Amino acid sequence: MSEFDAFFKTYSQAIWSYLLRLLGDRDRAADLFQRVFFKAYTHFQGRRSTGGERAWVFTIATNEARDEVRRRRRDLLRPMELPEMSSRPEEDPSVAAEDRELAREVLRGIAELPHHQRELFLLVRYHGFSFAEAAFLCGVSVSAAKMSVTRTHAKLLRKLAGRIDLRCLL
Amino acid sequence: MNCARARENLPLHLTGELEEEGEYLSHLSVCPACSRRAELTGVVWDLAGLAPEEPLPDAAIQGLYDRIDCSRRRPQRNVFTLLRLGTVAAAALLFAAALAPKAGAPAARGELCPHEGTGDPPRQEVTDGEPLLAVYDVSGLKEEAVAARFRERFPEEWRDPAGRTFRLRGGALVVRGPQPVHDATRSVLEGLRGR
Repeated sequence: MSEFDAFFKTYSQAIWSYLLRLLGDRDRAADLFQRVFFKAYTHFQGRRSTGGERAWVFTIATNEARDEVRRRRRDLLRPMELPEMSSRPEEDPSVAAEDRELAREVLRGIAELPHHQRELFLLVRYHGFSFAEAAFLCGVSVSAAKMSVTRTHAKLLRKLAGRIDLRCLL
Repeated sequence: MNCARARENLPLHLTGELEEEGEYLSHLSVCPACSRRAELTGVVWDLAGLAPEEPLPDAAIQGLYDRIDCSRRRPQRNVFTLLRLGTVAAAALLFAAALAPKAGAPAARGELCPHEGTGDPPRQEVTDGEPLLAVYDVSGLKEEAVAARFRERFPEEWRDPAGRTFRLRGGALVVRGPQPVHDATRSVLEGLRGR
């Protein structure tokens, strides 16, 4: 297996999930996914170090997604779709149906966030980046990153208002 | 720790990055409002973690490897190939220049190219429909200053009323158009040089 194949195997699923949640559109995410890894492939030998591969490929993905969002803003005929969150066979059966429904609601809330907030939240929540790493990757200060995630929580809490209160009391 | 600081630290607490975790928890134990906020935010954080991850479609993987295969089949021109081509081209140009009859003294920096104003017909270039009128060497000038002055003087895409166009390319100002270069171009450049 080549070095690139191993790299692809390590990061492909994470980048796919990131792009899908970031864009909320399977076709665009698939197209962008190919662009990200093609770019990674063409620059693979010349990349600065092997240590920061994760940050490197996520940076490519973040930049490509930003370009895509800019293009889409000009394309008024194709508004952003919310991701499909129907139940799927690979969902964990041990997770209660109510929790799954709430989780979908959270994902819908994430899809409604402004793009820059969504980027930071996804990187920190799903991809294990620290606030400092995510801030660097998105080109903002660490305090701005923390503030952004705090605002995201506030928005998600408002979206789930009532339902979570009930759940916490049970 | 006060409530404002606790609010600020809540995201770090959730990701496990908070260094003052003990202090934070002590504050929560005495502050019902912050404790409630932390509890609710924690629930949202956990719920987000339950969201299913969609598997990567095979078509996306296939599409990527098709793209890669396609790029491998295309002839590659790496830096060394381009350098080799550049060297050959430069040698050919030097050879042609040595054989060509001298049309006059070589242009000094910032002066017009020899073909301009000598009575020779302007050279045509295939890539641009307009005949080349002159090439000024502006490498001694700041490119931004030249660009700004020409933009100011000829705001419509560097095009003057007579239809001449101006382009900056690698330290040269290229003028194309239907008529010979007029004094305005010269005066702009001379103004920039502080003559």
